[in-house]
Amino acid sequence: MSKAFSPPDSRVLIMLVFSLSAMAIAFTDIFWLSGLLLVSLLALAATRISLWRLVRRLRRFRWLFFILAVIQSLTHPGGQVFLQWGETVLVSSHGLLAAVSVMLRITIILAVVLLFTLRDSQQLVVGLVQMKVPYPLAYMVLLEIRFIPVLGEDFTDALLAIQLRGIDMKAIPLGARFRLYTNILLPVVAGALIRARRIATAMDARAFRAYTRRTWLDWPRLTPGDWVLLGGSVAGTAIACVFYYGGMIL
Amino acid sequence: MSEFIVAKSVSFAYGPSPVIEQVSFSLAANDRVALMGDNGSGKTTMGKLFMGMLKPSHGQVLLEGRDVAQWPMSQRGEKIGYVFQNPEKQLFCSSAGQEIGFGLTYRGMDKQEVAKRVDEMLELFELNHCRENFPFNLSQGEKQRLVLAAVMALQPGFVILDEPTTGLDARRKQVLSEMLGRVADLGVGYVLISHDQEFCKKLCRRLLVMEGGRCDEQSF
Repeated sequence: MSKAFSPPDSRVLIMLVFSLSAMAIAFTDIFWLSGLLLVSLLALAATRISLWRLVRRLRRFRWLFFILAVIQSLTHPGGQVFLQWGETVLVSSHGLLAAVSVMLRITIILAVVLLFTLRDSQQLVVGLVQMKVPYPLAYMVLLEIRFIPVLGEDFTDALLAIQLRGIDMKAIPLGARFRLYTNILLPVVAGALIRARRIATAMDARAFRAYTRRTWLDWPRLTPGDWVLLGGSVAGTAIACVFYYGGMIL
Repeated sequence: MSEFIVAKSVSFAYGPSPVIEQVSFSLAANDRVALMGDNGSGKTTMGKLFMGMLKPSHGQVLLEGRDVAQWPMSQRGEKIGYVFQNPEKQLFCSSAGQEIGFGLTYRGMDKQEVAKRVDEMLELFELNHCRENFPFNLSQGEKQRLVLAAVMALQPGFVILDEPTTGLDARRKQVLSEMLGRVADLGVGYVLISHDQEFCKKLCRRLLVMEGGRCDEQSF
């Protein structure tokens, strides 16, 4: 019988996500970014996260990709020019490389963030506290993590409710459509504020922040495998930075 | 009596186990129907299937003889008004008056006509006192009525209300039942998705009970 898969400790996941996404933001070289993407995909495969989940996320962001690619292409004229309108360079080799780097960067971040799904939000909070993050701050992170999908759901519901009012969004002029989006934001923002107020009251009622320390039901210990992964990610990040910035300086 | 909504052997599952299995029935345009059942029995799911918000895994839901999925969502909204369990999800404007005229304005209706319709709805649903009020500051009962008024302003043929009595005390339930009586007087049918048997018995002529994925017609 095969041994049941046990995901790495929250601290390891936080470290992995932090180091890979930080490098994705800091590095601009396309080959380094490709390498980071490969490492991120290997991390997903090793933790048995389906790559289809990443593909679905990427599909959702396809317009953002396109818009960013166009902006990058326009703001980085240089190298070989492929398309020009008067004096303005529309598509050039430098612009295309900049667009590809942005796309790689977003893909890496979307991929590594999936690692957080291996642990529930409470375990991630404990992980942050074990990393010496003050617990009120860790809880703030937990609430933000909880709020993101809820906000997305509220936005989808508002879009549906708008259409159920007999409004065909595709049929209305662009200016009116922008005004309509401000209307959509009202239930989403108001809902978020109401929810935040309720959560704050509920947490105060449970003596949140009444004491500087608190006890935790689960206080996991790092396994030898976790230590190896943690050490590996710190060392890997340090080595990558030395080579990347060292190479640039040389 | 003409059939407005028809469910033909409808099945639906969120995961591997089905929530709704082979459910068939029809609703006439001015039917007053209670859809009842335990928590998780599939009442709200059934309501969403009527609106085409969910797609059946088997079977078909017909709206005026045509598959509901073939109607654009905005047209479904004109045919069937839907009041969510949480009315706050359907409030988009900074005043109750604007809220009622919201859908009509975006559909390009003449301003005077919109104002007339808004006045009628405020009168019908006894919301004149809060015409200029911010909808989120209204009481739960007023929010319910405001959403119902906004939905009714579109003059739909049918209205679905999901758990309309949640959070309402006896007096506010009484007010809501009076409002629904007025909806019925306009010849508009409705489905009440509810746990509240007493409330439904007073307002509905038909009772559909969801249990174990099935939907049976019963008497009150």
